[in-house]
Amino acid sequence: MGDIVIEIDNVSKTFRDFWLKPVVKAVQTLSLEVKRGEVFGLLGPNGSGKSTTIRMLLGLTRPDAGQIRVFGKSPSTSLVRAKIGYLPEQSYLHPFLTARETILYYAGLSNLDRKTAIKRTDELLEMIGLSKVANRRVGDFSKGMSRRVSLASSLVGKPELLILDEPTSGLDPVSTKEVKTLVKALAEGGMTVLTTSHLLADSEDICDRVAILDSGCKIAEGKIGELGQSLEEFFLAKVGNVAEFTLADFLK
Amino acid sequence: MTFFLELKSLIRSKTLLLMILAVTLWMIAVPFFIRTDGTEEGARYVVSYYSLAGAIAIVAISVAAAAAASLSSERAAKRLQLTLIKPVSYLSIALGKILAITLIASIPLGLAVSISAFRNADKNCRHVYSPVMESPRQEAERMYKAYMADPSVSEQIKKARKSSVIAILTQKAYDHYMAVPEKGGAAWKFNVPKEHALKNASVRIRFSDAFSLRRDVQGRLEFGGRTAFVTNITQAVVEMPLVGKASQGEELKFINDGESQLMLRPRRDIELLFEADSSVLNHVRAWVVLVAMMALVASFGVFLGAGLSRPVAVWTILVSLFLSLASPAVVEQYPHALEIGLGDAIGLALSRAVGAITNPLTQFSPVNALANGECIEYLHMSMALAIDAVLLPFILAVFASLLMKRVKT
Repeated sequence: MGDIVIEIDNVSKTFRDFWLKPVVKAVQTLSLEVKRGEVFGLLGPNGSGKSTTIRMLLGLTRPDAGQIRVFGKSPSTSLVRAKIGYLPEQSYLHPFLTARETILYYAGLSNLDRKTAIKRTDELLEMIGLSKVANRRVGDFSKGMSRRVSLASSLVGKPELLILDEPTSGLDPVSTKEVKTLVKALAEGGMTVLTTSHLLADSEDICDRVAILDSGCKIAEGKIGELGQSLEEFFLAKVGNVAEFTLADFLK
Repeated sequence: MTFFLELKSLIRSKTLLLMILAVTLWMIAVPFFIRTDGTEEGARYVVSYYSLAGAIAIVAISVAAAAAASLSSERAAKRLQLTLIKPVSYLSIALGKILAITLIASIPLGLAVSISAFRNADKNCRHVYSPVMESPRQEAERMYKAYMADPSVSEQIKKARKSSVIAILTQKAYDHYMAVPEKGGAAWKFNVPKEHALKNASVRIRFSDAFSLRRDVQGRLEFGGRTAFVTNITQAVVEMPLVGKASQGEELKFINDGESQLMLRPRRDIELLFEADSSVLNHVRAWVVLVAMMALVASFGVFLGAGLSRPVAVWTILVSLFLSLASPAVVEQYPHALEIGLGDAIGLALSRAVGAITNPLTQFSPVNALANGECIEYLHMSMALAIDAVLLPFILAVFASLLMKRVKT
């Protein structure tokens, strides 16, 4: 039991309109377990329920049915929140803060004392290669630089569980490789990582196990090598073929 | 942490700079376009009143907009969710924002109050005392009993709802006119502590706005061995210094030497003023009260922003600010709902509700007192601090944190 970090047990979530009429069944009877030190990939097409699952894991929304436990507790408790680092799909940074201030802000929210926070911030700035521009406002940063700051912010509290939503989105190939190496290193250090990605090759490189979601349902789960074929072939076989696009008349 | 974040946001977005510029310009410009009655006192009052009221309006509107937008814009930009998933209490997030916005508001307010203090540095403030009388409500209850016992009062009035009749009678009691006959006199009791009673004093009387009712006024005022004379009234409000050897007094006597009777509302129209501490110290107390008021505005804005989208939250708080200022005037103009239609009755009930909720905000406003050179009493300041800056913001912050829990993303 102590080795299981995330337990999702028969969880369902339906979004409703103002009159409580169901609009979207985002997640349906989903069950998952993620073990300590594992890199787990949550894969699926747009609208498959990945983001909703992550939001439930972060305690940002509650399931309608079923149970979610992170480190054996409800994800909305502050004890659990202290152990989670989260990198959202886009970098939602405060544009008027500098890179250093941004990381220090999240260090403060993670209850680090001032001295430790400064030390950790300097280390992380060095790690993401932004030490030289640490005092520039993040509002002036490129997408890739903002992404690095977000990644550093998610790591500043030394989380035991790292949730990465499309971690390589917006990064150039060199940075993508660096992130993948970092994730592997973090997992080797004992950190549990849950990641979502549209880039199946990325998942193949870093994940120990994956679950494939489609329309809110889990359609497959297993180790990369155990799924039989390449992840892309398996994914397309399970989720569906690529649409046959025909060139529109106005483009001809 | 949210305190420092909000502080940096308000400074770096130039909100603070714009507030300081707007307040400074307003405070400096007012004397150039305000018309006064030509007297030094009148000019002092009008300039103080309009410059401070305008500066407070600028700060209040800025604080309201900034506070309402604070949480709502962070939520819209999805930055709030990154804060909410951290091990920090939602209450501390709300309180941090309220504290930061209040601190920022205190700077332009301090500037406005400093300019006002500089203009009035030569005058000490005064303690103000009104006659000791039964409360308007008590007088209303007494009148109600008398009406009920009076056989000449129509049955229709006797059948009316007691609370409505009491509301009318309370207003009447507050406006109760007392006739001081020609060549006659009247006396009112005052409860003035000894340490104040021996200081320089004056009497302030408000006469009817109608010149015909005050043109023949002539009389003598006596309090604790000191005397003041009132004659040839051209203004509706006059202040007469009491001269002579001071001693502890309890009664203010008015001897009407004029040719016609004089109508006065003792609860509203007669006040004794005793010189107190420096105007500068009084302005410091006023600043504390104003900062407390802004804490209340900020906390209401943060509360709205926790549950509503940015445009709706900003619109709601600006309308609420307007209503909170307008509702006392509406309620005073139409104090009871007996003789008005259903639509007006609903409007009046709404105005009363807004008035009751926002009472602390308007009740403690020190602008009129400062313009009149009256002391902001320490008790008054402490109550403003306790209610406007501590109790209500804390309650609103609790509600804001509950809303944040419900409306997380």
